[in-house]
Amino acid sequence: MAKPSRSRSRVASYGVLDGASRLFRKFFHGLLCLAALVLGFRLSGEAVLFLGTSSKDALFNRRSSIGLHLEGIDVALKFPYITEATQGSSLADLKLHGRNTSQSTDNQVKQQPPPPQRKSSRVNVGRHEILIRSQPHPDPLQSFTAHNLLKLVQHEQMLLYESEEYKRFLVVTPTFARTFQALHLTCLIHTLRTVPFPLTWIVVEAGGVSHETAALLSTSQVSFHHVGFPEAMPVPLEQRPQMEVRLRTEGLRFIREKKLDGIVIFMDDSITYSSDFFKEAQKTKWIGGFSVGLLSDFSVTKDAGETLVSANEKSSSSMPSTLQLQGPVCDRSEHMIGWFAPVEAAGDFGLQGRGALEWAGFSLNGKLLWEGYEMPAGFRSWNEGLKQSENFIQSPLDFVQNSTLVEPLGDCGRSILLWQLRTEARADSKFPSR
Amino acid sequence: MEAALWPWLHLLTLMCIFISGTLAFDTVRGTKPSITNDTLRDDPVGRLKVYVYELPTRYNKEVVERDERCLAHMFAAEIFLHEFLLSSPVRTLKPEEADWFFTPVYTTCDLTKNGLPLPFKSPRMMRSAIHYISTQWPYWNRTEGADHFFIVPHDFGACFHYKEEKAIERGILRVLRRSTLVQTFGQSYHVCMQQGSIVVPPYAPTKRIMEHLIPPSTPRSIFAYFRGLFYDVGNDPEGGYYARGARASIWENFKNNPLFDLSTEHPATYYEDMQRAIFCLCPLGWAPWSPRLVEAVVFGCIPVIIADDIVLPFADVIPWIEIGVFLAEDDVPKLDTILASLSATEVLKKQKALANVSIKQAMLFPQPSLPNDGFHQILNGLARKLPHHPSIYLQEGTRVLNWTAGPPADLQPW
Repeated sequence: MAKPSRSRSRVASYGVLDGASRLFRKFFHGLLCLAALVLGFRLSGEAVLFLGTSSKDALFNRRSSIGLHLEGIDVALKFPYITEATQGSSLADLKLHGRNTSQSTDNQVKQQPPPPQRKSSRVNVGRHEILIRSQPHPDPLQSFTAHNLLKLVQHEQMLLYESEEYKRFLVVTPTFARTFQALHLTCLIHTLRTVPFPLTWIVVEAGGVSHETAALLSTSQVSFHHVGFPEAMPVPLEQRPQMEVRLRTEGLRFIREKKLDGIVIFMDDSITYSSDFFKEAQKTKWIGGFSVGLLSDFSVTKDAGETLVSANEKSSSSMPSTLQLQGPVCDRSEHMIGWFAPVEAAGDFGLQGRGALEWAGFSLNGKLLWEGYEMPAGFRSWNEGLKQSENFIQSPLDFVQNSTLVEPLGDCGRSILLWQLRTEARADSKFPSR
Repeated sequence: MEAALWPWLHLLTLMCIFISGTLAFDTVRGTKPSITNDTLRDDPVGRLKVYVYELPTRYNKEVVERDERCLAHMFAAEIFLHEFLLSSPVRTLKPEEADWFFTPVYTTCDLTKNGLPLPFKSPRMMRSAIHYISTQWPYWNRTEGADHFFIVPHDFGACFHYKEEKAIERGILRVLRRSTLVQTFGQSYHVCMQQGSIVVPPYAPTKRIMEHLIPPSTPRSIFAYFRGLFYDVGNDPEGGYYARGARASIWENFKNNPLFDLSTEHPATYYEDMQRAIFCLCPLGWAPWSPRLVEAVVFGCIPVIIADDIVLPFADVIPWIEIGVFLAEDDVPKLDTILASLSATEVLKKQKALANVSIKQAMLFPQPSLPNDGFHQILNGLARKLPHHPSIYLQEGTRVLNWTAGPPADLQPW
């Protein structure tokens, strides 16, 4: 409402404008406002000058004319069929003309009142410029926002389509301080961080709690328990699995003592997991079995000390080059009937006997380990399991009397959700320098 | 005296402008669409009666027998609409009590070796069919076709050409000017867009879509997905003509962006991939519509529609603005900014709106027909146009359509 004072002052200062011209200006301004509301874009006073010319078409063909300035004559020579379109005004006339003739000659009587004469479309036929921005690289901030959006959408999907109660995972990992420990444990830490379910990590270390392991675990941002086992890991490779079994038993004992609730899974540092593994493991009721793919098509040469597994030396004559796997086998009604564990695929380092099945392919309900918990039919309690083999649990199968009680998970063992490949460093390698 | 009045005069002008502006707003935009869930689930039975003309088989059956591929391409809706109407409860055998008349002529069934329809004979076929019905039955001449409807699902509707300038030159076939057209083409302010036409989605094979469904709990891990041509090297080697340069612009700007899954290959897991994507790009091609829209809606992927002035299928009952993201062709270089700037709540809201089963049902043309499918929405659209205005009924002997207008090639008998 400052206008009256301004106009008054202008009147006072100039003294030229009289009332009629002021009124006309107000009226014209109001008319332009109204026209802007109807047409949808702002009209300035200069628009009056354009009313007579046909340059309105020039406004609408902006996109095509920009490109044409670059190509110009070449376009017309190569593509004669678009010469009509390149003269944008003629095409617009053609469109309007076409509609005009139709309306006048046919005299359509419509059910609604005839539509007002519409302006020509903003888009038209012809060569258009391909708009490329000068900075085609993705903006990192936008990538971050987009990934955030993906995460939120997936979380929402999970809430909608899956059950909301998640069971906690109790992850038992045996480890010991060595050159490649950082490599393996970092892999494991990253895997655990992507698991969308709550988990508790129980790291059982041979040789007692060491500073290297503790330092690694403290960077993990996963809630863990670092348990030490007094005996050290033996140097010869063949004796290591047995030690790992004892370490795992120690981990189970920890769960039993603390009465931790959840699903126990055995994540070794030599195993690569698919994210579907964790979803499937959630379905465990008492004991579940998975198919484990064994990437042990490499020969192991034995030196003094540790050696790298080398791919080429003992080639496929000694080891079959087909897929090695261990897993449950089901019949047609999806009931477990046994295990598929060919002798060649008996894990690494030629484990024989009942403990030939990899621990990693099993998931247990933590309640089976508790003291005083009533076992379901066919299951052995902790103490009975210990009795099976000299005071340690050789395999999760020790908890069941009949291996057909194992629930086959991962589409009845048909999906291989975990892969095992053991690699250890040479004795003289340094990785990584900390 | 004037000085004291000016504030009131300003106020009055402002109020007048405001009121007239809101009124103009309404008349320009047209009536507000009544978007309720119920309109999609309306049952057309009992609300209208359709009479299906019995044309000689050379207009319909023989055409299909000559080339069976017509039953599977994206214009197959014309064949299936005929079959649907033949067995539908809205069909009446008494033409005196019919509200709408349907002419079953399959104009889009002249396919090339590659399966693309040639429209060159279609105008003649259509004219011949209309000539036949106008001579055999009196109902065409009664209204000159104003209570008849035709399905013309080809690229530019009843303009019967696939090249846009040619289609614009031809304009809508003269004899169809008074009828209601059911077409896939929809672009406002376009010559080939007839007032009052019903825009339908292109035909997508329902059975094949249903076979490729994956569990909805599969996490959506692709941000933006598109499979299709960016440059049509056969017809437009230099680019800039096909899709008005929009598809080429998408490729040049986002081919290196890991969030965008763009390719010209047609993978075997095309349908499954769409169900794993959040945004599905639906840019225009030679014509503004594409079957991608149908696939995106059915698979729950938010369609990003890049086609200026497009009129989307069943726009009066489907709330497209709530379901999809609209982008101007000039804004294609900013596509990633725009998509990333959508908040999570907006995206989730759109996904929830997309999850409406009625919308998915409306996009498909299943055989046999299911409730609320595309056929029923066409009938609902026709029912909403009833009752006919009494002025469509012409005086005895008056003719308003010009039968001799149009290119001379059209006037030859078929």
